[in-house]
Amino acid sequence: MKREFVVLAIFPLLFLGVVLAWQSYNVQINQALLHQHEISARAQERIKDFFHAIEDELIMVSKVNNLLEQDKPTRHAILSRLRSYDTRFEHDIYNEIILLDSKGKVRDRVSRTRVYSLENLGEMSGADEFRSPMTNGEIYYSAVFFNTKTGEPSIVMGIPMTDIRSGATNGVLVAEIRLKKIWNLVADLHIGNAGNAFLLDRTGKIIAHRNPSLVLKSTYFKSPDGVVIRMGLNDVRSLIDSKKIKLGSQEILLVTERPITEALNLTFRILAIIGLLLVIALAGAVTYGLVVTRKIIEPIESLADTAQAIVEGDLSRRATPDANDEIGLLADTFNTMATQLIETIESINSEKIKSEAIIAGIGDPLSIVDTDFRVIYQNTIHKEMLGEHVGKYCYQAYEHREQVCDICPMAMAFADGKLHKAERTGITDRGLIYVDVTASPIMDATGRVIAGIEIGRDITKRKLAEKELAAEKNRLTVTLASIGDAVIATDTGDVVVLMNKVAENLTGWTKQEAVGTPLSEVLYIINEKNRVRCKYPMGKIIKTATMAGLSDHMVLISRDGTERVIAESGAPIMGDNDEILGTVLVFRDITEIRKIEEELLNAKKLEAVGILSAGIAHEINNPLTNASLRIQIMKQELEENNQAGDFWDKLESIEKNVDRASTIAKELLEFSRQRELEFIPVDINSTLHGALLSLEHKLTNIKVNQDLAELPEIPGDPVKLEQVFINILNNAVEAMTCGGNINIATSCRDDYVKVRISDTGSGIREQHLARVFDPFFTTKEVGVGMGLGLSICYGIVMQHNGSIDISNTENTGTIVTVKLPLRV
Amino acid sequence: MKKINRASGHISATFMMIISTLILFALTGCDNPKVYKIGIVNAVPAHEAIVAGFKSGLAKSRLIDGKNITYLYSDTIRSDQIDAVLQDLVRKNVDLVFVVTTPVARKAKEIVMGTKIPVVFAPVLYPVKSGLVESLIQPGGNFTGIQAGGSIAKALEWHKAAVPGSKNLFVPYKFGDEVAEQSLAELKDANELLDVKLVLREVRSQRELEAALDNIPREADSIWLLNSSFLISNVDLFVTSAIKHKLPLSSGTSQYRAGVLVSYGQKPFSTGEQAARLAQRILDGVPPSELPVEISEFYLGVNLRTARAIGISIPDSILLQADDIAR
Repeated sequence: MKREFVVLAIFPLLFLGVVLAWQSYNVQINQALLHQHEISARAQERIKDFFHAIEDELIMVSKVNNLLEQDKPTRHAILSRLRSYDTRFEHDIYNEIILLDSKGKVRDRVSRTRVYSLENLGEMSGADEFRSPMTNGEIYYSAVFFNTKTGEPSIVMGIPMTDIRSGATNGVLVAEIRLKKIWNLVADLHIGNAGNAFLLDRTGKIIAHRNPSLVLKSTYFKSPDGVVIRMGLNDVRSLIDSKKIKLGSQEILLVTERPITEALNLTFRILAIIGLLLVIALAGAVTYGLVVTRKIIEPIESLADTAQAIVEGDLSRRATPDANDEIGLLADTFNTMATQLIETIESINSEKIKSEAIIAGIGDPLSIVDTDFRVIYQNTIHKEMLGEHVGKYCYQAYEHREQVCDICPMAMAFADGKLHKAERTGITDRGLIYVDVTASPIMDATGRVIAGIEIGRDITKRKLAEKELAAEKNRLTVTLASIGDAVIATDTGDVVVLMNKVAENLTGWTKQEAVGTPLSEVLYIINEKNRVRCKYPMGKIIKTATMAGLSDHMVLISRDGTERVIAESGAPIMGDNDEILGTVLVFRDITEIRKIEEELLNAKKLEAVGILSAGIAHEINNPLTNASLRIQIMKQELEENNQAGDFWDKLESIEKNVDRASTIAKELLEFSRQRELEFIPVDINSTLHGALLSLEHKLTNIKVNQDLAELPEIPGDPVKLEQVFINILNNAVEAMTCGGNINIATSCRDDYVKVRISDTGSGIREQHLARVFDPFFTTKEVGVGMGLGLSICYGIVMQHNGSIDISNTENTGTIVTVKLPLRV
Repeated sequence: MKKINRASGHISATFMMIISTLILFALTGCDNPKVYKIGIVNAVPAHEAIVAGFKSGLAKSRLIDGKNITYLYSDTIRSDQIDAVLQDLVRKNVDLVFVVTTPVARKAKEIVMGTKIPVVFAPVLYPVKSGLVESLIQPGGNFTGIQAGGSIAKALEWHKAAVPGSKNLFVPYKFGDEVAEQSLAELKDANELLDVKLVLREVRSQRELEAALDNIPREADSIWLLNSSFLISNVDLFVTSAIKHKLPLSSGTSQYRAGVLVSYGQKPFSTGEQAARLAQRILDGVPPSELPVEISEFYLGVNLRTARAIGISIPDSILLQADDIAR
C-alpha cells in the first residue's frame, strides 16, 4: 500500500519530466540539424568561391589578352605568369596550362614540373577538355583524377576563348588544377570545435581533408542525403550533412561532420538540467509520500493486518486505535464489527452442525459441489461408495474426465435452477454399480445458484435384472430369426407382438409395422381355388388351447400383391401357470413345391398318353391302310369300267376321311416317339430362321418383326427346337386368319437364352391358359388340330431343361416365352 | 482478501545515492599527460630550417618542447656522428625519429630496422628508389615522410629565363652520391631542350670541391648546385665562388636564402612543418605504414643580393613569378 501510494505520488512527475525531456530533446535536435545545415551552406559557398576564383582568372586572361593573336614569346610569358599567379585563395594552383586553337592544336603549354619545346606541341582535338567548351561554349570540368604515384588529386578545366570581335569561340584554355591546394581551405573551414569538412568525388573518394593521408591513401566515404546522425569518418557518432557542388557537368560533394558530443552538447545539458530538476521533484514527492504514509497509510495497514488476522482465524485480534481522529474512530467501529462477526459465525456453526446431522442421516449417497463442479461435501455413504473426493472436480473424481460431462444433471440444474435426473455408472470395490442421480441447485437468498446437491440411489440390482431380460429377449429374437419358417406371435387379442424375418419377407410387413397391428391385417389369406378370404382360427386355438392347421390351398397375398401358396399351423402360447398368453403361427411358402408337383403330374400324363397313343395309332393305322388300299382299287375299277358317277364322289369323300384319320394316326405316332435327343451346339437365331422358312408360304398376310440379339450357341437338338418354334409360329399364324404381326425377340441372360414370340391374334381365354400344354387340348375346330402341338413343345423344352410359358391378353394376342439354358 | 505487503520503499534514499555516485564518477578520471621523446638527426646546417619547421609544426599541435615533448639531438650533427646518434636513439627507445636528407634516412633504415620506432624523413628526393618505403601511397614498414618536390628541368628553365644568355653550365658533382647522380641525370635530360651545355666536374672531397670552384673552366658562364647533401652542405663555397667569378648560380634545391641566385625547390621550413603533421599523427597512434608519403611544395626563389653582387639584372617577369625574393 505504501509502495503504491509513493508510486502514485511520483508517477505524474516522472511522466511529465519524461515528456518535457523528450520535447526538449526533439527541439534541440532540430536546432542542431539546422545549425549543421547552415555551417555546411557557408562551407559550400567557400568551396564554390575557390573554383569561381579560378574560373574568373582564366576567363579574364583568355579574354583580355586575346592570347591566340599574340606572338609566341608574349603568349608564353603570359601563360607562364598565369600559371604562377596566386588566386585569392592559394598560390601555385595550376599544374599545367595549355592553349588550344579552334582546331585543337596546342599553341602553347606551360607546366609546373615539365619543360616543353615550343616547337611541335601536338594537338588535342579529340580531348573532352577541348571538344566540350569548343562545342557548347561553356566551362568544362573533368572528373577528379588521382596521381597514381603520389595519390594527389587533380581536375582539368577547359575555358572557351572567344574572339573579341566576332564573339565566336576560337580556342580553349585548358588548365590542370591541383586540388591539393584546396586542402588548406577545407582544413580552415570552421565546423565547430571538433568538426571536420571534406570533399568527395562522385565515387565517394575523399579529395580534400584536413588530414592529407586520408586523401593520399584513397579513402572512401558513403555520404548521406541531407543531415543525419551516424558514424562519421573517424568512427565517432556525428551529425553529418552533405552538399553538392556542381562543377560544369561534374559534381563533387562537401561533407561536414561534427561529433554529437559537440553538436548536441546543448541538448544534453538541457536534458541534464531537466533530469536534475526531475530528481529534486521526485525526492520531494517521495518525502511527502512517506509523511503521508506514516500518518495515514500505516494506521490503515495496521487495521488491514488485524482484518487479515481475523480472516485467517485469529478472531481474538482487535485493532488498536492510536489517535482520536477519523482513523481511530474507524478502528473502534472495526472492533465492534469483529465482535458481531464472531457471534454470527457461532450461530452459523450451530446451524451447520444441525444440517450436517440431517444430511448424514440420509440413507442414500449425497454430495455437494460448488458452481465450479468442485466437490465440497460427501456424506458417509457417498464416501463409502465412491471414496473421498472433497476438493476434487466431480467429473475428474467420478468420471475421470478433464471437463464437465456431456450430459450432466448438475450442469443442467445450474443452468435452469431446476431439478434434473440422470443415471450414472461407477466402479467401486463391489465392481460396476449403477446409480440413479438427482441433482438440484442450492440458491442463496437472492436466488443465485451457489452450489448443487446430488443424491444418488443404487439401482445396480434392477439394472442387472433388466440386462438379463434384454439378453434373453435377444436370444429369442436370434432364434426366431434363424428359423426357416415364418413365425408370427400374437397376444390373446389377435394383435401381432412378434414376427421373424421370414414372416416379414412373406407378408411384406416389417416387424416394426406389424407389431401392434391385428393379425388379420398382416396375414391376408385366400382360398387358392375360390379366392375367398380365409379367417385365421385364433378363437379356436385360444379356446381349445390346441394346435390347429389351416386348410389346404391357402394363398397368402403379401403387401405388394405377390401370391404364395403356404402351409401353416398355429399353436397357443402357454404361460408358467398354463394360462394362454397368445398364439404363435408358423407357415412356409410351398409355391415352388406345388409347381414341381404339377409338372411331375404333367409329365406322367404325357407318358401315359404317349403309350396309349402309340397303341391306338398302331392299331388304327393298319385298318386305315387297308381301307385306303381298297378305295384305290375300287376307284381304279370304277375308272376302268367307266362307272365313276355318284360312287366316285362318295369314294373320294371316304378316301379323304381315311387320309385324315391316317394323318391323325401319324401325329399320334410322332407324339409317342419321344426319342433321346442328340445335343449339339445350336444357334437359336438360325433355328428360328429355319422355322420361319418352313412357314413362309403361310405368312403372306402377316408381317414378321424380328429383334434378334447376338446369342451364344446352346447345347440342344436343332431339329426338335425348330419343331418347337414351328409349332409356336404355326399357332400364331392360325390365330391371325385376317393377318397381323408376329414379333420375334431373342435375348441372352446370365445363364439362359430367351425367345419371346408374340402375335396380334385372338389370344387364349384365361380359363384355357392352364391347360394349353395338356395333350389333346385344343381350341381349334374339330378336325383342324389334335391338340398335341404345344404338348410336344412342352416335352421338347423340358428335355432341354428349359421352360416354356404362355401368357395372354384376350383380344390382343398371345406371348410365348421359351427359356433354354446355356449349359445342360 | 489480498495479502498486504509490508515492505516499505525508501526509494528516495536509494535514488539519491545512485545520482551522487554518478556525479562523483563524472568529476574524476583525469590522466597524467605523456611526455614524448623525439630524436632528430640532421647533418646539414643548411637544413636547420627544416628542423625548425618540424618543431614549429609540432608546437602547433600543442606538443611543446620541455612540456610534453623532449627532443634528443636537435642540433645539427657531423656526418660521421650519424650512426652513433641513431644507435643511441634506438637504445633510448624514443617515440619517434625525425631524419633529414636521404643519407641519414638510409642510415636510419639500417639501424632502426627491427625495432618498432617510427621514422619520419624529410626531405628525401626518391624515397622508393632509396628503399625507404614500398610505395608513396602505401609506405609499408615504420617509415614515412616527405618527398622533396620539384623539377630539375624546370629549375634549369627558370635559370635560362633569369639569365637568357647562359649557354655553358659548370656542374660539380660527387661520385657515389646517388641523389646527386639522379639530379645530374635529370639535368642531362633537360639541357639540350633548353640549349645549355653542361661542364661537369667530379669532386671527391670538400677540398676538391673548393679547388673546382676556384678553377672554373673558362667556357662556363653559370654554376649549378646539384641536389646533394654533400654539395648543399657546402653551399657557401658555391655562393662565394659565384660572386668571385661573377657567374650566376642556380639550383633545383631551394637555397636562395643561402645566396643561390635562382632556385626552384621545396621550402625547408614548410617541409619541416609538413613532416611534423605526419609525426603528430604517428604520436596519436596511427602506424606509419598507413600514412602515405607526402610531396613537399616547391617554389621559385630569387636572391637579388647575389644578383647585385655578380652584376646581373633579373627580368621583372621572373621576379613577378617568384614565390620569394631575398633582397
